[in-house]
Amino acid sequence: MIHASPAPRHVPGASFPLSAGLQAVKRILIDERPDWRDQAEGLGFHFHTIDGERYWDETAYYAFSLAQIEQDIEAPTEALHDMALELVSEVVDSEALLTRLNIAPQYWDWIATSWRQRDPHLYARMDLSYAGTGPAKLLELQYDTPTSLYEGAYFQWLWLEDQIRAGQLPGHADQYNSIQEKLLEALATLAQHRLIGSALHFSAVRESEEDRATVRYLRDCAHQVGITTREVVIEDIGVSGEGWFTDDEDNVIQTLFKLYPLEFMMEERFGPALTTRRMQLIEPAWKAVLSNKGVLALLWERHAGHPNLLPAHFADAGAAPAAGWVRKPLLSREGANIRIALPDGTTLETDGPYDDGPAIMQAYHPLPCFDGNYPLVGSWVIGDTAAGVGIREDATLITQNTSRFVPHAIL
Amino acid sequence: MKKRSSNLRLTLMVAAAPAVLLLSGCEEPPNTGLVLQTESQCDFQTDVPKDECHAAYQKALADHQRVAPQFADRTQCNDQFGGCTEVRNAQGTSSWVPPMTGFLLGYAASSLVSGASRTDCQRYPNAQGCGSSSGSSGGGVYRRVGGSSPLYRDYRTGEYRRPNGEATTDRAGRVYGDAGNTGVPARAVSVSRSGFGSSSAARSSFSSSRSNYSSGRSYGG
Repeated sequence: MIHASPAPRHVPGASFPLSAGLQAVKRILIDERPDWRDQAEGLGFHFHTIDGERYWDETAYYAFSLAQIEQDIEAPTEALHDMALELVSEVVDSEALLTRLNIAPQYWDWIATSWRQRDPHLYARMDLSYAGTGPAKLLELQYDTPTSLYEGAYFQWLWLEDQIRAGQLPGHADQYNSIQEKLLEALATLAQHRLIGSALHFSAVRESEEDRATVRYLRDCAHQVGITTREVVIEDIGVSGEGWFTDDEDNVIQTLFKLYPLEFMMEERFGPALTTRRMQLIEPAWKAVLSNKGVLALLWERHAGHPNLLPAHFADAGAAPAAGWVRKPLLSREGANIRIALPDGTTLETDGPYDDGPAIMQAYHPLPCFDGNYPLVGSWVIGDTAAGVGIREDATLITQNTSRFVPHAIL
Repeated sequence: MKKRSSNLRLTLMVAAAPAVLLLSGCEEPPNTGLVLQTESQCDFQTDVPKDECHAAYQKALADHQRVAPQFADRTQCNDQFGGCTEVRNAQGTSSWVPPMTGFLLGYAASSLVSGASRTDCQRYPNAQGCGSSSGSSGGGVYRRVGGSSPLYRDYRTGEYRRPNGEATTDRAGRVYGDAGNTGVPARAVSVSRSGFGSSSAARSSFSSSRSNYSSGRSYGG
């Protein structure tokens, strides 16, 4: 089912399984496949190198044990997902919580209706800090516009198959990755149950090569299960006199997959027209609740002490973090406008465009460090099922759009 | 049990590879709607739940009061539809409207991908979603009602017409393709564009200020 009831699998008071043996994850150097660049180009993965810098980096991989994957990542991902959906249920019925999340009142009904009608959703990613030496900690939810999908779902899988075939990895090597398979299932279910329009439009902003490749990949997946697809650039979307949304050829857009933040759409000129619900959005309006960093504070309020959560609370706009805390704007992406006050009092800060709103404080939990690299585990949820991971590492503690994607294996 | 998929492929993204879509040609296309003559027929159809059918009838009847075709001339109305009745507007001007002699149930998101689940259910009655729990005597899964419309039978041609005069079908029962459309038009004339995307332009200072990145890289996260 695409959209399960938000009944929690995590029962307050229940005991949590111990971390799988406290064995550390390993970062292992490996030879690159000699032809991977040509392969990437032929498969539509043109952003493997960005402005001369590696983005796809297969000079190393991360090695997990099966127990680490299943007990420390897969199971917590589903538990956290259930807690997130349970929270949406609570937030849409509470003006107080919608206010705390700084969501514009004119969209409250739209968001609540979207949730009550169970508007289907497709995918989400949660970013975890995990090294095998303790429970994975949830740093952020990316429930509206998660990226790094293609490279995690497909190109990473191809890497593993190739490296086993080449003898670089043992025959029993595996990977936690059924992301694409589950995307196909989810899309086919949406179509079969007539939960989407007869054509599915895919959209990203014109200038972002990476985002356009990501929606092209999702379009490929939809095509594979027989869905009629079209592409429209976000900026080219129009409205008709009767209030229908249209593509650049005046086709009415029934269902729009948009890799563009809901909170941007709500602020923009066509935003109010969304509330007529004449165009179905994927991800749907209720994801506006979960794309907001305030949910990290709300989750902690409701599940304080949960082994996969970090302490977090709301903060005033402009407040400086105390030592050992991290300030994150309620709405921000790509690691922008993050301010870390390290336990020794020094601060790290990224600049960005998102400094114009309220924020949360989250307890500082450093990413593990492997040879000077800080990996962030992106754990995918397709429909309502945990489906795989993709790892991005950065040379700093804050994972930004300067990060590199590094494949993983289960050994 | 492996944690990865055993076989993946790409279609559209593969350079110069033809994308082949396999749809079997002999399957009946899924019907997109249902034309009924009276409300009581709701209890004998198996496409949608009975209560949804009754609700759709009530909505069509309400729409009929609002949007029924109006004729200034009684004879003209009766010649085409028969049984026309007089209505008066607020100014006291009278006109003639035909009786609602049917209604259209349109299914949500009318056209569809692979084989219709109804067909599969007839072939595989034990398949998921096909059992008696689905409540359909036809052994299939229900459609979802996407909309409804009043219909007016044209005596000259036998066709059921929508309020705007458009013909749907000449007999009651299942309809296919565009005939089932009750709501969303396929095309509409755009009167305005570029109502989305301005935030990305406003925030581009972020990416362009980064020396390593010549242009905005991503608005995802």
